Amino acid sequence: MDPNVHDDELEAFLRQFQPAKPSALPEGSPRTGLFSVRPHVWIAAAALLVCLGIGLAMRSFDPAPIDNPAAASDARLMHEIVTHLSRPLAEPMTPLLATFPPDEYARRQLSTTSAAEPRGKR
Amino acid sequence: MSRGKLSPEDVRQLYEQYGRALLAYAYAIVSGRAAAEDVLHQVFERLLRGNTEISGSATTYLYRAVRNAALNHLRDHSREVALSNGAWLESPKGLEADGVALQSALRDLPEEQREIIVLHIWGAMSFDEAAAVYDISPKTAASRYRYGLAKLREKLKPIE
Repeated sequence: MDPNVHDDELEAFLRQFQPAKPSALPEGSPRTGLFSVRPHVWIAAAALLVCLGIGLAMRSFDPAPIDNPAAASDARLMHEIVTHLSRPLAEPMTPLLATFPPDEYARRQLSTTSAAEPRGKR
Repeated sequence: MSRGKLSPEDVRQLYEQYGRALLAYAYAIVSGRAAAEDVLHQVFERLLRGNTEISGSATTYLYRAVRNAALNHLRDHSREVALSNGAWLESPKGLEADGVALQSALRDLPEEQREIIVLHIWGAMSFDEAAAVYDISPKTAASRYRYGLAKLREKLKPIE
């Protein structure tokens, strides 16, 4: 190209070239509404539904044995164990106190009181 | 052209009318034909979905939207290298070699000058319209264009 070419001529030269034609737009209307949601949202929703289903299934499962006597006995045993373990902490102390002779306890209490009395009278 | 909400038919008509120039414009920003087409389709699919309302000139909107989408593409794919740039200008018979030289020369121009040249020559936009795409003054757009043409003339000069 002539280096002294004018702007008009250069523009005319450029206009001889046409931009390439883009490929056609996808046919049909694009996905809208629910179908436009991205796949990872669908995956998350499906996982949530599965978890919900498992939860409901476990809730509706009744572990209480009705027809099987052996299992019923096991359940009773389990119930007793749980009741025993959930008793207040103070209760297991009772047998321990019971081993302490009550007479000895009363005698000690009495001696302490009587030893303190003369000081009070003074 | 001034429009509000566009029907799918309007969108397809705009694509037919401005598709080539918009593709050339996207090509002036991103490298590679595939990337430029992706950018163009992204803009038009958004319009087809119908949740975009155009206020003002549709032409200015389209070029702005393509520019934004192209810049987003550049940001998201900055590490990618186009395997093939492909031809983005169709050469008339006998000018194939000139076409290759022209594309190469355009590619070497500073981005802002290249974009204005594409808008003015192939987008058939006035400097006022081109300036609206960038929010610059028409004088700035015209001066970028003149600088761009001067550099292009220099690059297209035959080697002596």
